[in-house]
Amino acid sequence: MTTAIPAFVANGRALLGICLGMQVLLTDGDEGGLCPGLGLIDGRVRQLQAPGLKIPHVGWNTVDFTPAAAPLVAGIGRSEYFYFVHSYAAFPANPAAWQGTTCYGEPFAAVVGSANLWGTQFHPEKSGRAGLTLLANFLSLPGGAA
Amino acid sequence: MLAKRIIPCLDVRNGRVVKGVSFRDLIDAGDPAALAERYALTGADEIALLDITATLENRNTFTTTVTRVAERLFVPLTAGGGVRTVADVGRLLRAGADKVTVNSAAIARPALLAEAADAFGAQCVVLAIDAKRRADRTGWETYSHGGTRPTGLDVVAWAKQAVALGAGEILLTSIDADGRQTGYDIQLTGAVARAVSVPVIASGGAGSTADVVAILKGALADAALLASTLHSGRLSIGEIKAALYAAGIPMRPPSQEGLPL
Repeated sequence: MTTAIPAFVANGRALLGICLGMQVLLTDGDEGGLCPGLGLIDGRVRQLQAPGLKIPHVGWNTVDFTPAAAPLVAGIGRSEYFYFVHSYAAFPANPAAWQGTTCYGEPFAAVVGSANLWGTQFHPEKSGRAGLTLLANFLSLPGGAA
Repeated sequence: MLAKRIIPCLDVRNGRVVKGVSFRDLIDAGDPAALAERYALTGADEIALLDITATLENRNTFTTTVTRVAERLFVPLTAGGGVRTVADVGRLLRAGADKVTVNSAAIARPALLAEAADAFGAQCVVLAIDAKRRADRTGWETYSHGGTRPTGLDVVAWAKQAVALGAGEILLTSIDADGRQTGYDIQLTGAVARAVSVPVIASGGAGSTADVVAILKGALADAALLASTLHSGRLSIGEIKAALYAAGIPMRPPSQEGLPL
């Protein structure tokens, strides 16, 4: 995985990481001790800081997308909900890679992106119509279809 | 803002949905895959599928049902009933469930919760508790085996212990309220929700939109489970969500369109 995925991305193929699959794209994470990630997106994964709120963050929440996420979220309304289930979250160092934000105790990256590489903390495959639209958009990106 | 969830529960026996009144008088209410899909398309935030016989012979039938439901579902699926081992949890997850409920087996051997959480993550381990108010009204007692056997375990203490071991969510059913359609047990739900740091799904007693609003308001339940009230057509998910919206409770509006498939 540590060689195949970076090689796939370097070849210009579109890649979408989901949930933990998104988190491993970052530099490192501290779930169960500090552990290196694939380092394709600069930043860290750490436990959500949500005092007074339930952890894991389970359920449907909204996402504030940046204009950079437009190809992925075409046809999806601003108030759509997506399904999350996680206790750790990604915090990209480069604001440009931070393409969608959800707030749960604190703002975290719900969508990361960099050129042909994308990741969602939420599960599009479990997010009803909005999630399936996002997946269809991803497949229609250059390098997206198999 | 995190939405409160509406979860239709499908009790399944021999591959068919049945509905219960206080765990008795079961009436067939249809095909689980078709029913789950209909609920998801009309705004269900999650589907729960419970194997209510869970005998050894029926286990493979239920696994097949989970797969049939998951194939047509694009919202989360929680499955359970008769889960005894970590292997059972894995079998249901591989069949297509996102979360698995554990009940009697965790009472008999609490370490099962820790083992399942270690193997698959706490987020997919749901502890189901069947709770009955003590006759002297000093609290609630945990019942096992489909709500038939008193265990002596205090519900709030058991919930706290289970979360410490690795349960990522609590599915809390009031045996007293179940099937009666006179409202959720607000005191029970509040007592457990205040005691644990994980989400609580309230179950048992929904009869009106006002009941659902009452249990999802404020810091009580994070989700409401409904069965017979929905299966009978007495309430629709759309009506419930409209009532939540009117009450200012965060909810995911039902989509007006079908799936882009």
